[in-house]
Amino acid sequence: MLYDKGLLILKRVMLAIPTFFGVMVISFCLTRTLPGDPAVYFAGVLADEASIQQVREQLGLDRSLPYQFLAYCQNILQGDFGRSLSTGQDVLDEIRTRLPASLELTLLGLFFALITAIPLGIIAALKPNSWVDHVCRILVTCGASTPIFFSGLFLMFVFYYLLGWAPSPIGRLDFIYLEPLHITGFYTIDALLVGDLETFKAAFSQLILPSTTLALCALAPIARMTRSSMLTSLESEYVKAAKANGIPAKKRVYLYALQNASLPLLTVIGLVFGFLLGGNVLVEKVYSWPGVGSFAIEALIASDYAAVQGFVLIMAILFVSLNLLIDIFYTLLDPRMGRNE
Amino acid sequence: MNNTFETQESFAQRLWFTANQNILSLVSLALFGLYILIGLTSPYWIPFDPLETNTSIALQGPNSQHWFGTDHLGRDVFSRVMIATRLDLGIAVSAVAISFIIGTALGSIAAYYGGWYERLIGRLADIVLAFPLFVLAMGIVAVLGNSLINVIYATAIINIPFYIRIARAEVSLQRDRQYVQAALLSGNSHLRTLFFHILPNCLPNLVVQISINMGWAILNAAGLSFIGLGVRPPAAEWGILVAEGADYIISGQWWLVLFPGFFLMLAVFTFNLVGDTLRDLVDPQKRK
Repeated sequence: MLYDKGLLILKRVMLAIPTFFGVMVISFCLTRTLPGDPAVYFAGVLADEASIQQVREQLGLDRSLPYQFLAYCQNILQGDFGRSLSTGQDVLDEIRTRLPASLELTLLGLFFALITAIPLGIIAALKPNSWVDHVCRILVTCGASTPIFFSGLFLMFVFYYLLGWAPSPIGRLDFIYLEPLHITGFYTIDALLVGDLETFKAAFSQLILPSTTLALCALAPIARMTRSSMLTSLESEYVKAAKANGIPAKKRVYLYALQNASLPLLTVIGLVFGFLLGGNVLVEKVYSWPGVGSFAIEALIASDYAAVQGFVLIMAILFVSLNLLIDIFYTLLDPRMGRNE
Repeated sequence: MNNTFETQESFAQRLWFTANQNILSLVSLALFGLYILIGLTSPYWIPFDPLETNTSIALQGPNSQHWFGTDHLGRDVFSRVMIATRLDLGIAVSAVAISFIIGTALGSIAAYYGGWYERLIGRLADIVLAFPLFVLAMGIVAVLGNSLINVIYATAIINIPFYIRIARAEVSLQRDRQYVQAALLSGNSHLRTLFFHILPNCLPNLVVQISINMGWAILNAAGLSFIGLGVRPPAAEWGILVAEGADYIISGQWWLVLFPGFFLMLAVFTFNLVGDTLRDLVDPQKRK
């Protein structure tokens, strides 16, 4: 049994290799299709013919494409994503310092979405056509059609301008607080680890609105999936058999049905994470959040290609790795996997 | 023999029947028509020039003259929102058309010829989907250059995999039918059989995807222009209008964001619902 699962997981990991390779090829193509001649671009405005040629050799642009691709892969594997033209900083360093801010936002948003969408989906599935089911349907339809920047601005208007409950949307922490000691890079967790409750409160209150915005957009697919997979497992033979055997309703729903329904949910969470990585960019712009998204926007406006490509590649690697992890979890959790092999 | 089918209802009749089943479907079809109408005719009836600035009336709230208020340069928000419909729908239609043509062609070739074609094209679709799609669109625009046409290309590229998947699934269902054999036997080439005999039979499901994709394409393009890519100010586009208004929301000028944002949201909502209606029409078994 266990051996079979190990084999399955190994197979899945092997399958991810061509995907990673493809991601590298695409991002290599993105680098090579820079408008104009990259050598001219990198040499700067004042360069003459000789120094352009020098830069071309330096960048390896005079070599064949496969050679350039290998050199590119080697650089990436060594963690060299190039240098940002506008800040002069190493792209990987820049992204590494900003990533915790974005992840904190994304993960909290995902958490908010899960704790509202899953109960909503379960109740909607238990009582089809009740008012909860209708609320669920309306939320799903609206969530799928609301532009995330619009809902962000709307929440900001209501909770900051009208009600005054939220702190001013100026980033991760109000000016009057000091950044907590850098441990994980997540301000809320760092503040808790140091035992600084006040900073925790301040950092958390800055997080609430942007992560709720993200949650609103992630809510729809999760609720819809919970509802439909709960409906399927509630109508299945094993739940009927459990009912016939006199197993109480609570146990039937929350143990038998929910456990089986949670597997397709895992896959959806992987997909939703991809949405959230994109949505993050927009939310960070709305709330002036100093994460990787606003870094990418600044780089885009400044035509800082190395930075944008580093951002795209790192987001893709993050997304592919997360989906790989989810598939591995899936294999481990589903007892049916590996049995027929 | 064909005479027995003479009384079969027309497409319009079936659409009307499906729409009548559900009040939301009816509303969505009406809104769909309204958006098309606004997109086509707005330049002829908007009350003000959408680009004309007049700082003496800047940042006025909605009133009887300026229904949606005025922006920081005194431009009429109502006129700008209406005129933007044409640009937004235009972007979405062109992007979806490109991805439909390329994606369907690739997907049906993959399913029809199988073998290496299928493996290669399937891989290609998987790799594009391995990226967070909005992020990939940003990267594509960054590389191709910051212009409207490149926003259309980027939106088209990230939608291609969905058409590849659907066309592949549909064509592989049809491939071994007898009418295909008949078409081949009567001397049609493989390509002709594929595109003139098989593909028309796959169209219904592809059309559903087109409608859902339209909403998605509008959202994507508006998101890209919200972060400053593609459409340049002073052109009116829903994403840009919201972005311009964003600076004023914390000082309480809500109308700059609300009206274009709501119009954008309603457009996406409409296209999604029209997609659902078409799906009910195409596949009555899925009807609730």
